[in-house]
Amino acid sequence: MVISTSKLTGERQTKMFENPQSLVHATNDELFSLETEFVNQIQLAGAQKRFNWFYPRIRALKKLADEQKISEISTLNDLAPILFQHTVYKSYPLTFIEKKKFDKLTAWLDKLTTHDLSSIQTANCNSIDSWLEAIETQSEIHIVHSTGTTGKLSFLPRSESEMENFKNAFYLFIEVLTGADPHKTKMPVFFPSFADGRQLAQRVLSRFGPILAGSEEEYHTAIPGFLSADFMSLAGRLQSAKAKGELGKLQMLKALSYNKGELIRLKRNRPKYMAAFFDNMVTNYRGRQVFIMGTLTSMIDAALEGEKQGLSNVFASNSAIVTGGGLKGQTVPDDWYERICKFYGVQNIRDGYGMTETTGYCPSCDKSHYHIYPHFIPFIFDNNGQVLPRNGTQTGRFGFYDLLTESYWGGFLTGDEVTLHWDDDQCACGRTGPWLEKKIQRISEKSDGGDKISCAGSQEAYDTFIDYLLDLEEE
Amino acid sequence: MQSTLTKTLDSELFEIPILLRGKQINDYTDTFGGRNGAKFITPSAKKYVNQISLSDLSKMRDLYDLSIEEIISFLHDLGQHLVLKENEYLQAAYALACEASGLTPEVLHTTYRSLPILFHPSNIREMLEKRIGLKYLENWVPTTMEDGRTISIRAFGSRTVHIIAGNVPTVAAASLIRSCGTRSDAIFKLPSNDPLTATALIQTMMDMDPQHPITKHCSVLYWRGGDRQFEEKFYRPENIEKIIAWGGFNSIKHISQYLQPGLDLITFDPKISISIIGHEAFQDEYTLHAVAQRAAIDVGAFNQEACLNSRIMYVQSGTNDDGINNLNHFGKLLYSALVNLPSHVSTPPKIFNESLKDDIEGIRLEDDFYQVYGGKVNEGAVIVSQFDEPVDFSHRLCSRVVNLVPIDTIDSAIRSVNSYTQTVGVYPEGLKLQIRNILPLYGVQRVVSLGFAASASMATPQDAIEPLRRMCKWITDEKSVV
Repeated sequence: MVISTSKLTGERQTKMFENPQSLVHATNDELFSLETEFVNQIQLAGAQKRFNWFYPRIRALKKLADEQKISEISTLNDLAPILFQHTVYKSYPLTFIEKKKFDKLTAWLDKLTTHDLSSIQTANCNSIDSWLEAIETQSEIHIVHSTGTTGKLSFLPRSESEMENFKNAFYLFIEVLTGADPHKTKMPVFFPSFADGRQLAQRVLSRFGPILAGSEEEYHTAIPGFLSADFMSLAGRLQSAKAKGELGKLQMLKALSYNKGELIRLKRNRPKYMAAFFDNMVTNYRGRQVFIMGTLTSMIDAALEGEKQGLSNVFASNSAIVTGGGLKGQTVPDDWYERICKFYGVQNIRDGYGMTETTGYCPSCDKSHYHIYPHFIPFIFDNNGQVLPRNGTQTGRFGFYDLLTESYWGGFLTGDEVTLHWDDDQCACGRTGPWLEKKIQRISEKSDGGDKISCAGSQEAYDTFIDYLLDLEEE
Repeated sequence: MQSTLTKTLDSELFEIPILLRGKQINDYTDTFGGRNGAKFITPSAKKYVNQISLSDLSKMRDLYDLSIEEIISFLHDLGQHLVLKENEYLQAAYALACEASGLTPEVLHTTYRSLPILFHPSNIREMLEKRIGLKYLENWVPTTMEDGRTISIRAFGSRTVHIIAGNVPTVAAASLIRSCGTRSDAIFKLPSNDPLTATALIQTMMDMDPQHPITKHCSVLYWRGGDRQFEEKFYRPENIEKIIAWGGFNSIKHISQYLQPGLDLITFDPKISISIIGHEAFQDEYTLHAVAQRAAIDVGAFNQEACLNSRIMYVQSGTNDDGINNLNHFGKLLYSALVNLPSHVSTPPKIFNESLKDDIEGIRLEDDFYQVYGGKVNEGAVIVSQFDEPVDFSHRLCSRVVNLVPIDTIDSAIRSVNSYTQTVGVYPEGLKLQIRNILPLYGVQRVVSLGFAASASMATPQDAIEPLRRMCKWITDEKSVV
């Protein structure tokens, strides 16, 4: 064993070898001062144990590993061919949801988790929400889902101990962004979304928001109630029907969504809820240190609205404004960054990089680089799917193995192109370990323009076509 | 023959001139990047916007000094000059297409080599005779009406703009033949995925005879589709009468905002194609092999870049265990036939669409619902649904990837087609006769014998319309008895 010169005692180093979960019990200072060789050894030891444990327990992993002829992990790169595509946890046929075949959906998930779901009763399920609830009440797992913006929801099972890991990883993340230890410093938390739901950010905030805030009273959400997975899936299915030009199905889904009284009520009440949330924030918490987490676009909208009311420097300068999600194609003023900083009264807006599949997130430092915690083993792949060397600066598709998962296989090949700097190119902020440049691009959205014209149907063409139809109907 | 279409080696930039009625414009100022990496530079379309269209309508007369046979003969001569190994313009177009097109060099080579056949007199004559009627192009054709009047009808050409698709170079040649054969004045707008084929054809024409009336009525240029400054000035009834536009809804929607009385739009929307295979395919192993071979051609021709390529195949294997086993067996045969197609017909595609690849890898581990044959690299793949639904990403199938869907009755296949469905390849022939009256009700535009989706002819209607007839102006001379 390499004895690290980092800030850890030998006993705690040994513990990290034995159990990678202890990584999230270390401090940020410790985690970002570890030596490369030491981290590599913890990661290799951890990956070996995790693979040997998962292999007989997740059928889909066994199939993949057998196909790739991986029977043991001798080097970190042995994990590369057995990362799951980011599409795996949404690879169920959509028709199972449409035709309410929840037993088949359970059978699908059963192959992707270490938990035995074979005895789950779904006969009474008539919606995704009720299916998720059935699994939660009849097993030991919680299921979080993605936003489904690409058409389908991913379903990720997590046990209570994984949620605990998530909390610890999330606290570490928050500390980097805010500079304050969330275990000790409590500040009012504002989350401009629903009070509860199983979408990941929703679940994280509804569980940990009150703890970060120190009390239920100091945890504020905008919209009462539960963000339904069925609504989000409906949105995804609308998208999918659009993409395939299935006009009949599209009309059916539209009718379905309009018939949901809740959705209409929500649409009507949403501006009212958001206004009340905003008023409470800027009136009752002026000048205080607060924690706000939301999508970038919601932050910008709020700032522009605040400007109209003549508001600026609303909160104490040590407040934490945390975002993610990017601009999503929304048109914003060129100086939006300066303007939101000015409105909230902070020096900078911080964000993180992560996904539904990760335990916690990679925080950005004051050099705007995303730092990768040692419980993630990162990989960069070239266009041909070959792993690039683990040194220098590498640009390519991002993959990772998350050492902290227990219910699902932690290895994923993402759909993102990133530029990663390995340890030999340390960030100027002083943190050790690999880091990602700010610019992260969806590989599927890479294009250099041009007006390529084809007689063969494409998704984009249909999308716009249906958008056009919808516009007409809504006019 | 001296090519001006030189690739300047240091900058990897292709020069694409504007060709305007027999004249070449070379002041290159505007640079564009092709989607797959090819870059090219052209003169500014905006600068010449007032010179592009035919302003003096009397100049259409010279086309009527030519007989249709003379036009066919000129096009035949042109075809004789379109020999890839001799024609430098075509070689330059081929070289750029190798970079800009989604097709691979081998498949492109076959397509360019077959260009002279399109220009063969018998092909052009057949197209004009069967789709319009030569006599209407040459003369006033009289008919006596019930009331005793004589109505004479003649088909005149119009002033056209062709916004052509670039996924297959044949589109440029067929568009040129259509416009010349109808005595139209034609302006070709180049697509960025095939920015040189139409130019090469017209440049060859200019070398043959720059003063020929046909040459004087052919122009070609590139502008970025959607360039409002240019298009607002250009798409006006005083400049053009008909726009013939291929392409996606974005571009059509954009063009449609310029429409007004006097400006007609003929569109070829993007389409997808499918196959329907009856239970007869499974009568014996020999038949199944033959069906797989035919199915493979419908998937693989043009590397599945064209609208007529099959992407989903509904197979009446049955959906019980035996049926699924039989379909999986057919899937293996189809995969083998697909990857063994000769390289002049089909090759592994240049680019394996990343989103599609991710989707395939996502379902590969789900063998209860899908069996995937191939697709590990870029050779193509056969995805066999293990129940009666296509994959959720069926709208993204390309790069020689096809989805087999088991069905119990042919009705399920018929219900799945819609107005985006262009071609349906059917096996066996008897089944085709049974369903050809039903499929069009759901939107299908072309029914073919399985294996022949890619052998399209210029002498047929396209996408359920008669484009040649619509390109003409149908003029009547009505002689009444006083």
